[in-house]
Amino acid sequence: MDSWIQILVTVVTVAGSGAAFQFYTNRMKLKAELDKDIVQNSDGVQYRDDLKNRVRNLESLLAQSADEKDELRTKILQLTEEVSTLRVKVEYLEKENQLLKMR
Amino acid sequence: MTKLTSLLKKIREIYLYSDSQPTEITLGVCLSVLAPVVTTIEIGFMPIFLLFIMFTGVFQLYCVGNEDLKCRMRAATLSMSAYLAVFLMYVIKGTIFVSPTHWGWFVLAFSSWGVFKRLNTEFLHRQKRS
Repeated sequence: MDSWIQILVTVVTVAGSGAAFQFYTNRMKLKAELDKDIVQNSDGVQYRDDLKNRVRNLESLLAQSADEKDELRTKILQLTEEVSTLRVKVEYLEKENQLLKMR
Repeated sequence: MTKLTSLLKKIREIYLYSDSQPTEITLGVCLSVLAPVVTTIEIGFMPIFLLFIMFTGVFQLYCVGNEDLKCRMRAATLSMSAYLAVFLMYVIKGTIFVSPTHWGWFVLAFSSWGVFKRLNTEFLHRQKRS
């Protein structure tokens, strides 16, 4: 076989191999990234993210209402205390009033 | 039918994801030892081309031995091209239809292509992990 054919085939092979390497490496990289995007944008993943957000919102609402409940309980205790005090005061005032009337 | 489908699926999975070092070694040895002898007997003495294919085979063995993934990928592409070049030499010589076994070079090129695909998948997975 002629030398120039050998050289030509060898050069074409080396150049082709380099080009093929670059091309397929980039192609597979792009394909992998595309697959990743497809998975991220799929209905299942979006539904899952939506559910996660809803759970997060519900948890924050639950924590908020628990805090409110504690505050209200403290207020009720304060009010009950004040009512008892006022009841005693009213009793004393009524008694004093009756005594004053009798005089 | 279901069994056949699952079998084909399994074969595809093995082809795409299995470990390919033994195949790479076989391909490297074939290129560095078998290909020069066979092409010299069947096509003739081609010193430049023989040097190239022998270098490719040794390079592939070197990359496998070094466990360098990027180097192995390059070697797989180079060996695929080398096998295609051997096939091309038979085409140029006009002996491709003399014996069906001459198409074996094409099969080896396909095997190299499979190796390259598996290595590329492994490379992408490693990149994702790091």
